[in-house]
Amino acid sequence: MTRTATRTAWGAWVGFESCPTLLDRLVEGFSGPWFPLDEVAEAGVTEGGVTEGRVAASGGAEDSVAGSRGAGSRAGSGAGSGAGSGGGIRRAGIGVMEILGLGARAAEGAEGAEGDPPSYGCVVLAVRTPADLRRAVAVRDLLPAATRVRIAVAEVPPWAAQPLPVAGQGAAWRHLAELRISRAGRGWHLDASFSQAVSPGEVLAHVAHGLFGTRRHMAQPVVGLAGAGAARWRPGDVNATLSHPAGPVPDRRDAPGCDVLLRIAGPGDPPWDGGPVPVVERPPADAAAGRAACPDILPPVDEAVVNPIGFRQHPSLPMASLTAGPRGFTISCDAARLVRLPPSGEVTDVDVARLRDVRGVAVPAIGGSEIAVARLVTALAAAGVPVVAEPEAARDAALGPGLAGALAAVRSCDLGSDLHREEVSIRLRRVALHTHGAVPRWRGMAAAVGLHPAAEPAVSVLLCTRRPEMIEFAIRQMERQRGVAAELVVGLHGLPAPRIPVQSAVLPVTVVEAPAAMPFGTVLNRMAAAASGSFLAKVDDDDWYGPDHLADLVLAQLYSGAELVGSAAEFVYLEPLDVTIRRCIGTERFAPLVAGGTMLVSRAMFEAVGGFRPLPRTVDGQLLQAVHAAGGRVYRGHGFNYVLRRRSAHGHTWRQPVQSFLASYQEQWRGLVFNELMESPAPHGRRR
Amino acid sequence: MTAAPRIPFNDYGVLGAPPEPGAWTPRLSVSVVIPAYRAEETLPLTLASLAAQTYPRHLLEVVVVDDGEHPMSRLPEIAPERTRVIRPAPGVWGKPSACAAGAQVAGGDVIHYLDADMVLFPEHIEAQMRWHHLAPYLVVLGHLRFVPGLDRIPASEVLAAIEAGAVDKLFAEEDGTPQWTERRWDQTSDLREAGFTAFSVMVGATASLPAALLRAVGGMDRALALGEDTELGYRLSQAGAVFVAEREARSWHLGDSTVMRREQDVKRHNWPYLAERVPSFRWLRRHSQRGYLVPYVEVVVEAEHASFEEVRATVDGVLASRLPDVAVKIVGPWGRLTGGRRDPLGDPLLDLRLVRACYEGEPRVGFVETLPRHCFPVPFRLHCPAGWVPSRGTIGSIVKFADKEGLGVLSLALEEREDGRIVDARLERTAAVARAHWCATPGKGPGEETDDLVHEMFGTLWDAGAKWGLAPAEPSASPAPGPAWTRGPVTPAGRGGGHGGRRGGRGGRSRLLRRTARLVRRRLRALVRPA
Repeated sequence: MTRTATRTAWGAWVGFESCPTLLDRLVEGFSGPWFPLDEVAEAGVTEGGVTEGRVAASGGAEDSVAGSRGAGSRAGSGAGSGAGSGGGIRRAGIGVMEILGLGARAAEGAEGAEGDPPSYGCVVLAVRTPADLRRAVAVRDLLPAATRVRIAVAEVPPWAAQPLPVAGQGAAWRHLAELRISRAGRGWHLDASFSQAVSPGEVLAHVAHGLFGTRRHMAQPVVGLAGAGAARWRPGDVNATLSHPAGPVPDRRDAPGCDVLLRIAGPGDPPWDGGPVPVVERPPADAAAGRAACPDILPPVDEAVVNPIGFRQHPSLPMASLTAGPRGFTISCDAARLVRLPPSGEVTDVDVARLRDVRGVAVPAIGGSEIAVARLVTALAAAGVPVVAEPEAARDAALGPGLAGALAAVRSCDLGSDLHREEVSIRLRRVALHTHGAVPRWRGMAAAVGLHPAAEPAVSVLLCTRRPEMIEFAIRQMERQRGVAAELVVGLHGLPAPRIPVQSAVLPVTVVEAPAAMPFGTVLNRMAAAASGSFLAKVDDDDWYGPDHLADLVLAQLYSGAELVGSAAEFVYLEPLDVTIRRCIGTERFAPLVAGGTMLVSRAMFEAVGGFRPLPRTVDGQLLQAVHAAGGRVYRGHGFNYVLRRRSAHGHTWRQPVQSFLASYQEQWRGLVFNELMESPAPHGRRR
Repeated sequence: MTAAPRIPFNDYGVLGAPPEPGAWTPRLSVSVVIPAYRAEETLPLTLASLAAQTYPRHLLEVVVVDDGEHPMSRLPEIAPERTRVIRPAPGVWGKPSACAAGAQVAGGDVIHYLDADMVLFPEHIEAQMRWHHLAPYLVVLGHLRFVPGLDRIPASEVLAAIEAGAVDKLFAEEDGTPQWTERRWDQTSDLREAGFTAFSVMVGATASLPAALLRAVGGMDRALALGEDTELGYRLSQAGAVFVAEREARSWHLGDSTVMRREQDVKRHNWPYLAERVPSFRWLRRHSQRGYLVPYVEVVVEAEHASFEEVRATVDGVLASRLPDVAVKIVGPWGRLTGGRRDPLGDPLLDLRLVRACYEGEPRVGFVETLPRHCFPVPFRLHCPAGWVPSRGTIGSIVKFADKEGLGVLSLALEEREDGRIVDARLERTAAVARAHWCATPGKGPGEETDDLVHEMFGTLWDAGAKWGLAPAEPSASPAPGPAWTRGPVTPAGRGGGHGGRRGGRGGRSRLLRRTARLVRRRLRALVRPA
């Protein structure tokens, strides 16, 4: 590398706390200096030139990465000026970019005249995992402008999409000269050159959009972030506003800068004087232990990355166990160290991917770091990794009564059977994601400061039948759905509506009547037109549904971001043979097919593809194909809320022959047998 | 009368602990049958120890079968009140015949076989009998130790110990030699985990079983001179019996047994007999072609509503099986095939007639009009619908699978008809079906709950026939004799070829290729079929 390039390059990292040496080898041709982007948010707001000094100072204390980078690269000038002029003096009323400008000017080789925003030849952002990339998104405005932007992702989980930028309306891509995306080891490397300096934050936001798509992650109400580590609370939020730790929040055009401000402040920090914006204060991660613990003080779990995707039904490794060490946590299995986690207890998608093959994780009571362990347990539970935890009061208080109760109910003997292990996993992930997910957490925080967040999306259940005798059964299945706002649209296909009682004491019901000659797909489209929910869920009249069927689908939609989600028809009752089988179907993954009776599609996608095809049958498969063709993604969740009833072929059009169901099954029960999550007694199952 | 308790496999632990000796009220009577041959010295001791039993006298009878060359002089003085001596019919000899003769005259609810050189502890009979009050299909095996014979210890000393109630002090338990079966007891938690092979430790030295059960299996096989207890154990297991190892039924066996003295000779003698009669001893049936007295699998083919070609395809497929000891039962209204004048080609019963004619000379094929509910003593029955052909490996592999999974019934779905009927092949384990009948609720029709009971005790499973190589017969099965029949001499080896022999002797290589291609096609089809 030439001297020029070195002098004009600027690098920042996120997520390498527990593996500092990885950073050295990650980006070819760039050897530093590296700044921890999380810390820049705080360091940037101190006096000029402090960026590096602050980094060096803090690094010496606890963070070996920052320490080695700061000391190794520019120990002379950086540390000296930082110690001399910085000293933690804060200046009020100064914009972030301006501060960064000051900070950048102190660095050698920055181009641009005095007062202009500085620009570099190259800005490098190194993130360890996609989860860290989402953390960087919230503070992306801290990246200085550059004509070349390099983003390195050290490792991605097997299920992750490729980091292809999806250009929005931003100005940056108009100046694009060259874009190169290449695999690098287990991760990716993106290298974009522009004809003039652009904002790397914009590039980063569009890469994140390419990876995760548009999410239901509530960019509004707009959240302001202040203080180090605040980005952990809004992973992936491109609409967050950065602020000084002491305020004020920079205004937007014709609008206040934010609706609610999250401030990370310890006892020694000055009070907020940034004006009349609702402020939510949270202690820094390391100081939180002293306070009375409750779920609200934990940073939320980022559903988009820490989630059940990639769950293994048949793990190959035994139980793993968590141990605490001086430099963080370790999860090991049979003396093999699977993952190392930072002292903050932060878990990323890559860590979860490494834990997929263990039967479960045993968590002992670890005194002194209850909050970190609580974060860790929360993330593992949300990811569907079964956790067996010894009770510990402070940690369980931070987990909240729901998750602590669910954890207490886990017996390690349950994990011995793959079936019960998955039931445990599903129970834990439900309560963890509903309590600690970013969306519910911010919904609660916004409500707590008097804002009224938009209502949870409602689900319209489309139930079409030709069999009047099944209507009551089917409505009962939907009435016991919980955790979602649902309405029921019943289609009577070739049935005289006035003579058939269709009513529910629980759900609002709309009845759509259609002549028998009308194709099935057309009937469903008419039913969808009468529906009002944001999601349309198709259900069949003779299958069995667990009470969390709709809630789990909506949850899967949230964490997968897929436009259409469904379950696997994993459990099938073969009525002609009177046996229930569990088939071998991979679940918790993006897959082309889901069971027709479990499809949940966003109304936007449903309308984009024009609804169902006007065919008498196979309309489900055609919808899946259309969603694929429209660039949508289909996600297949677990199959524990659904039992498909394979009736006798007599009187039906072609159906999959019953013997083909037997060609591959993993378990079989005599009679009709339900798993525990169906929460109904089996009518006539028999023990084996 | 209530239904019998349901015991899975051989796990009689589900019955709970039996009552403590002395703490229960016996109800069933027992006949102790003692075959006596050259036992003049030890028999008085055996009878004396029987006289000292804790089991109620009014429920205990003894039948001594005097199998000696010359009748016994007289009964010893010390013996249970109801003790009889009988002689087998003239010309009848040997232990199995003696046992059978004794059981025939015995009046007890339970038959207890006892050797004439045994000295029982006082609770011996009671300890065994308590089990028979718990379930009607138990075979209880007593515990014994081999101790020095009367050449080493005077009979008077033994007798004195019996009379003094000090049998346990006669010898030290650890000095005695355990029977070979005791190791199996140790390995299988007293046979509870022995599964289908528990019968192989059936030893007649001291064993008791319900008389009804003994009658149901046809009693002892008189054709055997040795090893008769193992063979009886096999048939009992096929009748659904459960084998209980009772360590509290203690006894001393005076002197060594024949097995201990001449083990190799005993094996050499027994194995040919057992190979014929005990199909579960697979290691005794290594020959790839020949048949045996008791086949391993009985295949049932219904002929009445099928065409000749369909029946023939199925039966030919079975006979070509790599498992040689199969037998075929073709079920049909054979009585309707009369010899009266008929139109040879227009006969309404032509297909039946052709089926009958087709296997006239095949000893493995039998024709029956009705089926008993199980094929005792054959261990497995496979119902195979006509027109469905098992591959050469099918029968062997499904039997192996059923053994591995401990299945009582394995059903293979073959086809779903348009009327909703499922065509299936069904493999039944005789032991499981037989035990289900022991456990059936009295008053319910036969077979009504058989599958539920079999499922509860052994397990039933549905699987896909295609996975196991059960395929529909090819429709072109018209009887066009191939060149192999018309050209050249028919070699005896031609018969063994079985499958594919039709296509002619020219190009055996291409025939092999065709067959391989067909197998590969079938496999691929099974693979790509949507899951």
